[in-house]
Amino acid sequence: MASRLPDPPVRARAEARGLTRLPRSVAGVLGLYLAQRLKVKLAYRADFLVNALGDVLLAGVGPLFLATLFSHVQHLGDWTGPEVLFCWGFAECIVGLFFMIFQGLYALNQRYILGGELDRALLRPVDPYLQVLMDNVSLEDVPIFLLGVAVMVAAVVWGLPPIPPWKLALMPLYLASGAAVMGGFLTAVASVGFHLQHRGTAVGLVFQLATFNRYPIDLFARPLRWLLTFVLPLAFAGFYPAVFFLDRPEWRVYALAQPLVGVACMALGYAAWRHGLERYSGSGS
Amino acid sequence: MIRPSLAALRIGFRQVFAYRTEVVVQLVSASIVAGLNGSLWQAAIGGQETVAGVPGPEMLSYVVMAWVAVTFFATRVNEEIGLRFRDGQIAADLLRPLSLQLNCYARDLGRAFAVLGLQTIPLFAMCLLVFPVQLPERPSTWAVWLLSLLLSHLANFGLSFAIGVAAFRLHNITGLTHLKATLVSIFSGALIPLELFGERWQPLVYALPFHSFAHTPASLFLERDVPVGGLLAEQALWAAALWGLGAFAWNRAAHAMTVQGG
Repeated sequence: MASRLPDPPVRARAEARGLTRLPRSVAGVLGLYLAQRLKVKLAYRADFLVNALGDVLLAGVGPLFLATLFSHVQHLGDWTGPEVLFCWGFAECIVGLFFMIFQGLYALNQRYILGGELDRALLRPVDPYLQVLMDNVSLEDVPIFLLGVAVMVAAVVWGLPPIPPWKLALMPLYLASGAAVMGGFLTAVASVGFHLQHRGTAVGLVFQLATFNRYPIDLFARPLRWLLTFVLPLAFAGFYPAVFFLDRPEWRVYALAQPLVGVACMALGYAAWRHGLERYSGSGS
Repeated sequence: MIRPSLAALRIGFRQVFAYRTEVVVQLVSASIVAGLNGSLWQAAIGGQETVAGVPGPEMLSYVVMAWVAVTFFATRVNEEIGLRFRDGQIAADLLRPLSLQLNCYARDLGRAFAVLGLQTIPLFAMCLLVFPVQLPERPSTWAVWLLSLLLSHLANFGLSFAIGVAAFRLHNITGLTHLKATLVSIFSGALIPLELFGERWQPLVYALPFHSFAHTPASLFLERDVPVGGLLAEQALWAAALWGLGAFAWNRAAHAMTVQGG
């Protein structure tokens, strides 16, 4: 990401003429994006409030589901309640991180590619991929992350074997690589829009699957397991990184591969984006 | 009133075929989710004879059939109406000598019929192959089930239409849309079989309209010991009430609206 911002004399002249206040660094640009984003959110106040209420309820669905389930059954396969709850919370954290950073991928097809808004991003001296992401950074998804943390704590309180400190120290790495798996994969999926020029629904599919990637994967039939590991590698954004923190040595090999999968997904996603961008031709109006 | 509605029905039916890739993607995604959801419940039921008083095999069939119902009653009419308001097309709708609500319903019903053939029934057939679903013993149950699905769709349409019309006041309805989706997933039985809610919650669960969306068709399909006519009548009542809500909202909104741009 090259920071090719206007050189100081240009900025000084522009500011002297009262034209605009130009940001001094890429960080400054990102700050402006965040402020703008907040203003957009507050434009429809009633909707903002209803949305907040809806988000609170929606966040409660998962814990409610697990609480109801485990009030009637003791085990899920050979997994205990605390174990399942921990994996759920861990995956929720990853989803929270993902939503905060990668929300823009949702809008990519409709607004940026079909609507031609990408034209504007391409004219600015910041990587267009970063612009699409920053334009849509979503701070209102921070509570999802916090809910995930709360659920993990609840799992520990409920009776999860204590997690050794050296593993806890690795937790940020595993959370980040989980978010990278989801982000990279969705970047690749959304980049298909450059080639198809069609309202993509594949993103919706990924989201439906993302409600299941957080359960112990051996509960599912072999083809589904295979699907979630190799075809749509969402288990690497949920169960596989989470199981590292449980006392289940038989799953360790996936946990060790996890950070590599994260890097690989992000690299593949970005490559797909670059490849798609070459095909971009504007909306023509 | 009948002829334009039939035309709208045909249009809705055909529109589905215009987005063939979308249909295939949705069918694939619905089947994968059905597989994951079914396996999860299979593991949860495990060797237990009954869960919350319901025999294990019946519980599994319920979960599968509730998901099948979801594919049928899902509608996007709220987003459509919200969008028409935002881009001002609603002005053209107001000029037409047709009931917007009836017209939208006919189109959505046409879409639902296409979805029945292209998604709901294939998904159902796949589920039969993979999971031990209990089939009805009485042939008449099939007809009752289809009727019940139609009423689920009508009720969900009524609610979604009212939410779409709320865009007149709120300008943006993503919030309400999410809220509705959440309430439906909690209280319809599609995610959590309603029997699993504790004693204290049962009155609330059955007082809300959502249980008639997925729980009722699933119960009817499983030939539970329930009053068939009574349940259908209850569904019809909810559908009528929600339709009325939509009509009321529309009448209020049409008098208070501002068309932006144009």
